[in-house]
Amino acid sequence: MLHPVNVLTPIALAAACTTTPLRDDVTFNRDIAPIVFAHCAVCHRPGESAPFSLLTYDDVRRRARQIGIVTRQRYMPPWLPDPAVSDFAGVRRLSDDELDRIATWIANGTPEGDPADLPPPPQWTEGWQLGEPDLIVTAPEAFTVPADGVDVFRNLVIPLPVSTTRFVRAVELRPGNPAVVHHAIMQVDRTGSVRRLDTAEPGPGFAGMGMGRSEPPDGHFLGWTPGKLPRPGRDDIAWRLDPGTDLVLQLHMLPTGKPETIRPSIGFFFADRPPARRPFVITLRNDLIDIPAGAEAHVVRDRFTLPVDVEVLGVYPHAHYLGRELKAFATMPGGERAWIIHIPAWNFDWQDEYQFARPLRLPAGATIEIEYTYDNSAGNVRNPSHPPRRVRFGNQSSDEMATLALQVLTETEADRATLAAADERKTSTGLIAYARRHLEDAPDSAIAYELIGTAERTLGRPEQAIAAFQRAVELRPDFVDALINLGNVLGESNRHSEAIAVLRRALTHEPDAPDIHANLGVALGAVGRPEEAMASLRHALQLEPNHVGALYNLGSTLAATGRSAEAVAVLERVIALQPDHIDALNNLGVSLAASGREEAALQAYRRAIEFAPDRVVGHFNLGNGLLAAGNPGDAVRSFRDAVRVDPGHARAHASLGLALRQTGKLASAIDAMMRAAELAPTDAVIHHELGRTLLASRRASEARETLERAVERQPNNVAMRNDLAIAAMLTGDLDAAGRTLEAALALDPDATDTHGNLGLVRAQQDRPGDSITHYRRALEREPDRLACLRGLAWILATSSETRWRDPAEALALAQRAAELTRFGNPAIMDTLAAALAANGDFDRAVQAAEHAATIATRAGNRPLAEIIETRLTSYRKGRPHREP
Amino acid sequence: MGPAIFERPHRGSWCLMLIATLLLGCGDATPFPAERSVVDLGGRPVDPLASTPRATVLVFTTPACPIANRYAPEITRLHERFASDGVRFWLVYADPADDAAAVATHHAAYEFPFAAVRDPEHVLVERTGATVTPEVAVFDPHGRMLYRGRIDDRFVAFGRTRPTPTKRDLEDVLDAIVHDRPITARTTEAIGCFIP
Repeated sequence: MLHPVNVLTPIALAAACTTTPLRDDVTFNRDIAPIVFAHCAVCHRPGESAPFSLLTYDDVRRRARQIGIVTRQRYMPPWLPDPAVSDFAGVRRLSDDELDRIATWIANGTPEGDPADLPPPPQWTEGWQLGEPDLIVTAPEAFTVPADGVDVFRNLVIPLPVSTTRFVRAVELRPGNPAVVHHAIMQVDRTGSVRRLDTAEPGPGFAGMGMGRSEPPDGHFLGWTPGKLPRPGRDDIAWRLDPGTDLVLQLHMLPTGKPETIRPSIGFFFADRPPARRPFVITLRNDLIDIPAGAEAHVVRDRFTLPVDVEVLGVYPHAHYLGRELKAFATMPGGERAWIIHIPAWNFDWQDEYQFARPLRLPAGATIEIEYTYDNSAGNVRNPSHPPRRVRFGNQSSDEMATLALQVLTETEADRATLAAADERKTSTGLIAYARRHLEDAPDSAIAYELIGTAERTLGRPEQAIAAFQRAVELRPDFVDALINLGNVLGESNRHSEAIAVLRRALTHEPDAPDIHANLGVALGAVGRPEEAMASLRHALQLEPNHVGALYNLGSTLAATGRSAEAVAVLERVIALQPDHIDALNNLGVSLAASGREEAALQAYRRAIEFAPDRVVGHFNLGNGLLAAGNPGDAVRSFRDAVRVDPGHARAHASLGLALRQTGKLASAIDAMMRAAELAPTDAVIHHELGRTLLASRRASEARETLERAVERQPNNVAMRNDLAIAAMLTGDLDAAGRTLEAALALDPDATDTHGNLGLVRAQQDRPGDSITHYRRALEREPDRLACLRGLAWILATSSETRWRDPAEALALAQRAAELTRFGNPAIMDTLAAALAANGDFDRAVQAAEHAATIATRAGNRPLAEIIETRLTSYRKGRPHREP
Repeated sequence: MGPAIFERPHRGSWCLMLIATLLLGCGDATPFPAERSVVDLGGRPVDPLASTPRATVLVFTTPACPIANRYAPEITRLHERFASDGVRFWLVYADPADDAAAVATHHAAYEFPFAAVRDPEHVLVERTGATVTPEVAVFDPHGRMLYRGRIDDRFVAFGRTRPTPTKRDLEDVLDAIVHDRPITARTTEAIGCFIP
């Protein structure tokens, strides 16, 4: 019965909707409190950054005039992006409707209204907003902001005490004194650069907007602005925190009129597993900014074309005090344009990072552009210079920047790598351009040369990098960063001796820098000075006991110098600090195997594979471990994995061949080894194994050719020469075989193999005397060597010349060989029969020969069986066998 | 007994002052009701304009106003510069909600080197026409208001701040006074927190 017409008439309904905000009975309890509670009270409450509370009717009424003005001017709540073009999460901006309500309420004399209309007051979590952190760090010292002056930028360096690799889901900053901090950003540094900056300046941290070589961790923005609640984060894109990482916290602070101390704490919340995906931060920046004095609308641009599809999660635009209007948009491959962000009236003081409500999808080929407008006129009250002066790129607040950081996710890690490479190329190219322009004004700028060196190194041009770093240290001989980088790039270019000299020079300036000692250790190791290398690495570890790089290299050097047990201990420390250190796991496995702990070694390799299934080394090591453990079948599988992930890995193909040979698959083994030999035409070991396998397949001439190449490469290898001699023998070239073996004997006059093989060759060359000599030499060192026992017994039993014959010794030798083979080897039983016959024991000779023929037949060796049959006929007739 | 503010020794100049404030267009010509008073931090009634050697500066402030607070070092500097020339500074706490203890705490925290009064009934606020904090009013020995407005032009609007001021209005006024240069009474718009 109550106004049914109004409710049912669409026109009346629409009218009711539009008039609601404009009605004049606006009250605090019904209309204003919901706005204040939702948009203001997060900061305007005790203990937060805002100067006074807005929690009650009285709080708001007393400041109504102020509230009316600052909301109408959109100074409060602060929100810079144009809401019409992008949809961000956590928008703080008031709608026009809300502004109207506030204005009407004030115009009407701020009526309180019906207490029943008042919504419940907002509830706040005390202390950490995300719950108790897994790790809390506090700045080592408090910083004091002076009472007066301009904005203060201070970077506090806080080492992060984790004893093993962790994955960080969320970070929460508690400034300690929120009234002072206007804005804060956090980055991580694994290079020691911010530590050096901290040490170089008195007081806690270091000044300025530059943050050394620190970076946003794994593509995450860590920012803090007043009133912004920390995000709970996502396990699946958590960022990696390794031991030895420093956090650098940049605080942008405003003096308050009295000295203020600030000592922030930061809470870390860990994910319980490594992330499935890692975001990446694409940076657009134009460092060639050059804004003429007085320019009112100077435009600066930059662009970047995406090489892969991305989802944009967040965006962080940045300019300093001359920034007026900031635009960023994407042009799709089809030409269509999409906004990323538009800030119509930039205000440095309210800079922030914005997360999209829903990720923004941009396809490969889309071009991201920034177009920033700067006002360098006297009319810009924020202009740091009066009168205005020419302004260029720089970190100081009187310089300018044009930066847009985009946090993106790629579909795959491979896409991420492609994107990162493109981004690095762009950044490095830009840096070089910037530094070169700087050199036009300041030709002796060591810093510019150092920048060029760093960029050239990133671009993969070590020669240019070395030249630039060398120029930098010429200009400033005590430029430690440049010396370290020069040393490192020399090392990367295998110029280790020069690297050593440069790093030693760096140490004269900073004798206690663990990184320099560690890098020096690596360089010394590379030039084959393991003892000095380990001394350097140990020095680094005295300075920083958990220096993962120093520990890893020390462990690996210990392993390489045969100190396996010590290597195991050190490498296990690396794994404790960083469980997925692939190289350490592999070297740990190798050291464990060398210490006789094969099973533990296999475990280490398996863990390495688990963390990095696409890296060949784990599969390769596991295969070798399995092969050594007598499991060629599983080894074949590991080596197949190895050649799948790295088809160009010659040794993996060769080892696959070895494993296949051991499982009896000779043809496949030869195929695998031939692939290996193709990939590594100069690898003697691979050719040797291929030759041996060909020999085993009776492909003697191919074997001979292959082994000849192996011997060419390693002429001093006795075993290779022996195998080559066998191949030559099998192709019927006894002279060549003899020559090869003589050469082998010259290298090692006592080698059993060589004497045994020479015995065989000489016997076939009908030189029984020489044959007997060599067989006896072989048997002196290895009395149970079957081939020699048999060969010598045969000559002594069957020689056509009486002077060589010695039936008794022949029988003793043959008997010994037969016992060793448990009367199961047809050739040895044949020899035993011949020796028995030579001694006139024809009955037993017949018996032995019959047995020999049977087992030869059973083994499928028909030709041998037939030969034994003919000798059997002689024995039956009471005639011993005689060589012709 | 009326409040101390009526017992001013310069009654003779009362009319002149009224003219000055009328010219400024912000004054309040009606006599103050008897029960309203300005008090010192001990709660005793006090008249900051009772005795003015060369000039008196009233600095309106509220502890919760960050803009006013940021000016504490500048005000201190000006006090140091002009105090020996007979310029007397008074800090005027203008928010009735701030009790004596809150005001005393604030006064000590910012280390103001001169005395403060509370103006809970807006006696001085109304007399000067101040609307925000920080805002200053300068009086001559005759009780004439020579200047009311901003300290300098550092704050242009909410959220629009110069790194350094280009015009130091208060300093210029005081400079003229101590150098006996003739000045014309004037006002400027101050940017700050509205006095509740």
